[in-house]
Amino acid sequence: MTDVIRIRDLAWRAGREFAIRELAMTVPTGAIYGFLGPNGSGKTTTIRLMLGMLPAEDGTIEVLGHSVPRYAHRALERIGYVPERLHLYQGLTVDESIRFHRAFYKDFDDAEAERLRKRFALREDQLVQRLSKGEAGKLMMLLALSQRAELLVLDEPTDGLDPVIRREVLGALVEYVDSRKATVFISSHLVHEQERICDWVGVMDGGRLIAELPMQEFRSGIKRLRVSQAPPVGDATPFALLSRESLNAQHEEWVVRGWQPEMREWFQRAGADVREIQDLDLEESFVELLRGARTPSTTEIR
Amino acid sequence: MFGQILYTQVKWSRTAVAILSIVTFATPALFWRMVHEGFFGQNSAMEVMNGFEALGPMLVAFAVFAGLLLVAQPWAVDSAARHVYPLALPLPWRKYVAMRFGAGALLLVIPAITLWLGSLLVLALIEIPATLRGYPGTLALRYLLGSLLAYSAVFALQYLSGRRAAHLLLGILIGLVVVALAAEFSGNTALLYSVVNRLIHWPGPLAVFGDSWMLIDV
Repeated sequence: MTDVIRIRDLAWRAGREFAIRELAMTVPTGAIYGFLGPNGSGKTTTIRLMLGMLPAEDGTIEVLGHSVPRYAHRALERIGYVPERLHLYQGLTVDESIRFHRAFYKDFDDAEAERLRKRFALREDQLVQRLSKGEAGKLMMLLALSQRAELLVLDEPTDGLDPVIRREVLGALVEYVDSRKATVFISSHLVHEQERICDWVGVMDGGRLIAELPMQEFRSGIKRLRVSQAPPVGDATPFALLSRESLNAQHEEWVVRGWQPEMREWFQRAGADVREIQDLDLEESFVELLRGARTPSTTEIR
Repeated sequence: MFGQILYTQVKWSRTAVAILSIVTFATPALFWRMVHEGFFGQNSAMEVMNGFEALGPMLVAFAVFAGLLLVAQPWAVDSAARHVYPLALPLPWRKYVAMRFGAGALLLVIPAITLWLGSLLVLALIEIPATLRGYPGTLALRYLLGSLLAYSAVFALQYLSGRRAAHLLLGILIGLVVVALAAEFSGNTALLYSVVNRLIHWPGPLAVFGDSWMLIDV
């Protein structure tokens, strides 16, 4: 098995307001897959569909070789899940929460749970309902990591945490991935955080996956060009045009994906010239991808 | 797994179960104490029967309340987090629901036992005329079945999906309205009584509530 998650033609609808359409996604084994997208783009819904918490209208979902939702419970035995909001029972203490959780996972690592509890400075007798947001985030991460899961599904795990706690949580995550070679699926709208740890990126917008590519390609393949005598764009362009904007009568600014240096020749053949090529940082690339996907004249990026 | 589900149920419901247990233990004795000056002395068969007459409906109300309470507490906890935790656990939903049902049902046994003990205590304290007999076990069993029935019905409604539960409730309500309207327009209230009788007498689904809930009877 080379892919941990395979989703094809997924469709889901919530009234008339929001729909996921023809979603296809592949997460390779061992990847740290960053699932990016603005708020409300469908990231959490996709995760819930992926874990069998919501029934899809159409399409197929396979997680760790199990068809979801039918065999979601088998996949969930090997998945550590941290949802965006605290989902644990509020009336239990930290220790009771650990004991409750342990009962459902046969590979649960007690020693690791205790080590992480001390590292995260969580008191055994603290009530879950009295935990701060950061402490609650750490407890959820503790439980997910102590399961010895093959796949970690983390939905905005550091959202709203202060930088110190965020660093602690991400540190524990990176250690876990290093030692267990687990696959991580991490959803976030914090682009810079994803840039540091992820090797694959999927970008979601308006219920569609508008890009899925290795981080290296995402980081280096999106450029801003200053073009003089800009030619019309047809089907034969060797790159994907995300946006074009007129600067003056002679110059345009283009944002393209899949740029290679030899593509300058295409402009020269069309009687144009590329005057300047700028690298975009990840956040700019992300914004340009969204802009491109929302502009009807540009092509969808897959 | 079941041990932990039961543990959470005990944590959420222990205060309610403790209060219910004290109430069901004390109710037979308090009831008798309110009707009579004291526990001791000669009483006629009629006095004893009258003394306990209203105990049955009160226990029916307690049984229904206990059933509702033990569903409402775990449901409120799970629905506060939109059921994300149980859905994320590695077991089929129906298995989780079965264990959650079992945990609540198990706790319902405690007030039934205390009712039985409280009834035994009263029977030990009062003098029963020779023509009458005490039925503490039967009363406690009826109480248990009544609370289990209420618990099961509400549990089934809550843990079905919202839409299905709404359809089921709507169907029952429409059925009752149709029967009531038919009785009103035809002037034939026998139809309504007939429906109610079919519900609360064997083999009707609510037959346990239609039975005699007497601690002391002939």
